[in-house]
Amino acid sequence: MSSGSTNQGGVADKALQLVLEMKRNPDVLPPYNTELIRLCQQKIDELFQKNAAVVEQIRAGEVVDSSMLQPRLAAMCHIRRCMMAYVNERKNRIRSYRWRYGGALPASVRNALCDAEIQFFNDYSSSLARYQSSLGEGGVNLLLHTAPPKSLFVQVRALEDYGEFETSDGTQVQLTKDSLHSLPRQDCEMMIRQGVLELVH
Amino acid sequence: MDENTGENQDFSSILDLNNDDDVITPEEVLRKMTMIWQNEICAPCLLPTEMDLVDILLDQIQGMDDNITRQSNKKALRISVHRVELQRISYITSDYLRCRVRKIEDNPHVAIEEHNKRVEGRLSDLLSPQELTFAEDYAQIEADLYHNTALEIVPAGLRKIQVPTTYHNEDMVYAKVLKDNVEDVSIPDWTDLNAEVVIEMEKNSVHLIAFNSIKQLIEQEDNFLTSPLVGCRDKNGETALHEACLAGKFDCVLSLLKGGSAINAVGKPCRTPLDCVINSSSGAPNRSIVDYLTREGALTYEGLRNTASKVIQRFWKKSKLYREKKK
Repeated sequence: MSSGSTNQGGVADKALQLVLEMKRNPDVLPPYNTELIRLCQQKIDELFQKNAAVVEQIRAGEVVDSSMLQPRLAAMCHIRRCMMAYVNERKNRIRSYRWRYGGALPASVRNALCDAEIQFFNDYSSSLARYQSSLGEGGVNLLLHTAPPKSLFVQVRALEDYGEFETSDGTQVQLTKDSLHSLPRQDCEMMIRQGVLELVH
Repeated sequence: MDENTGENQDFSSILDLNNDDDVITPEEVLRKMTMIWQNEICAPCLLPTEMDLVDILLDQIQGMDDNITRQSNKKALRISVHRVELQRISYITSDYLRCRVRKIEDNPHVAIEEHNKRVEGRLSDLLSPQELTFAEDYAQIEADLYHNTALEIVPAGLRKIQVPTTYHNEDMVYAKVLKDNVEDVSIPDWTDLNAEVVIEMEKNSVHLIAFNSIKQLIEQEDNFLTSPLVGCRDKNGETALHEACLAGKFDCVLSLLKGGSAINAVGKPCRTPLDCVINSSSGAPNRSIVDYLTREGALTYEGLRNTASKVIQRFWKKSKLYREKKK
């Protein structure tokens, strides 16, 4: 407010942009915005330095105006909160990808993540796998049986040339592009999710 | 008749618990599991773990699966029916586990804390050992992510943040009383801070009540089924979906279906929800509901009967009796 016309707008504008970016893209994961995060960090650093300078002066016994100390701290906390909200929202979406795609991320999603997030995905993936295999005797795949079963078989269309596929009851089917099949639901659940098959109504 | 057998089973299971767990019948296990699953879904926070039951069921699913694969005539109707039943049970157990994983992920720290509190108070465990490991793992992974992205780059004094706490005590749930002689529940009277209102818990009555007030009862006596509106039927055997369709409320229809309401439920008046929209009391049928319902696979009562009879005919034509009659 004191620096005049060159610096219009509030302190937390950049931080707010981060949150808005997630709010405006509810269905896709936008790439990790390193630039904005860096700007937020800069802002926090700047405020921190200003406060530190004031504290320094108070320690030295000079008479200074300390009225801005609290507002600056509040601003820093606010920016941090926005950053956390951004990371948290992205975390929730990344987690949902584990349930949608299994352990392997499609390239389009992977490119939108930063290193720390890829690390998170891998760790989450393996801890979930550990949990699943510790259940019962042989482990349970929680990605299967995701919808209440209404019928044993479902009509599916192959979206790509997948090749030979053996169902749980031992029959072999040849999955060529655009071919129609009636397969046991639990067998194709994973493949529907991977985009190999598509449900036909 | 039904009630009697139900009570006998309960009684025997109590007796059996003293010496041998294995004698609980599969039906009893499944009945209990369904209830626990429903409770877990409807409750706003984690309920104590029932992993023993899940283990029993997982074991049985495996057994049934092996049994079915051993059968020679795989096309028999009996086998198909068994298979569907097996898938239903698998769905219930997986969904129960998934629901708990979701709740743990929502706030792993609170889950661990509550668990430790219960262990100290010598109550039943909130988390099973496997779930506890998962919760700890997950809390660590999450903390790492926060640290590596946002917290690492802020000044040291700002790096610590509080774990958010979530209290669900005032959340409202639908609860149904399942047994006789349940003690009365008292809830705070908001018009007078020093007073309490006592609610009588009659068998089969349904209450919309704060979760906190009945938490103890759900945990200790499994008297209560926090049942969502989607499962309830009125005295004519019709569901809330029928009501919503009759009234032409699209948003209610949507949320009921999303909550798992049966789309082709039929009560005594012989009408499905789709019939209800078409013969809506408030004049012309609501086109958007009709479109939505048909897209989701809703049928009229007529249609439902036709489909059913077609299925029966198909099996009838395959059966021996039919072939012999033809000769």
